[in-house]
Amino acid sequence: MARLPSPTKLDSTLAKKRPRSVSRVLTKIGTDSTGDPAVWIWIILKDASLPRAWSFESREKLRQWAKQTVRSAGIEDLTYVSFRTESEQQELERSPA
Amino acid sequence: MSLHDDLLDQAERLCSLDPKRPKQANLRRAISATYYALFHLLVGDAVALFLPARNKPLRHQLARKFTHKQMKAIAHAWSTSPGPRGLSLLADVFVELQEARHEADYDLSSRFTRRQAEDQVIRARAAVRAWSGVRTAPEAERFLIELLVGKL
Repeated sequence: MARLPSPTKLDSTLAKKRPRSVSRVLTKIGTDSTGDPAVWIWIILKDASLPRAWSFESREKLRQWAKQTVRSAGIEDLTYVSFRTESEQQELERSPA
Repeated sequence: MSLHDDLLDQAERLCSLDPKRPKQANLRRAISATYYALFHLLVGDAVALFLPARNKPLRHQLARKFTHKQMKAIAHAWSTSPGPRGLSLLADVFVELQEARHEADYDLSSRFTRRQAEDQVIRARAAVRAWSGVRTAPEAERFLIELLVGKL
């Protein structure tokens, strides 16, 4: 699996149009476990936006926003969306796998 | 309590087991348990359409015929089709969870956070609740049958 070459149209769109509760968006493209082409999106939420941004409704809206953005970039692949907080993401980046 | 309820309860406990730095082992098991909650819910409901409750041994045999790959393909199709919202939500959550489960169980290069795992559990619970309101709808029954036999 590879990262999308940066900056791509999708990366740029996700960065420019991200909602206020979103700190950044990470993307990856590849094939999923059943061999289908897919896009993975990690929505990194600002810590200050919690707990409001953590409600089920807020996350569903963000999920739909991410999937719609992928489609409007002309990508028809399956899209998998995950959520992390900024502090969680920074912790992962500090700790080697 | 049903198996799927118990698996979701287990997943929640695993997410909150470590107060400070959650162990990858616990988060991975939580995601896996969440997927299997939905898997067994759907297989159980589908099998119940085919066979009466008195025929338990045959129900168990039939349940083993469902494949993850076919279930994902059918769920993906239903996740974007018009129909009851509870059906499209459950289908969408199932597709996402199957991939997350595969990564949790097999991909050691992936790392998970507590929020990431909690999101999946919460989403699965919402999908189960929504499904309970639509499971006898004609579209839901068609979906369940297609999970086993493929697109009709």
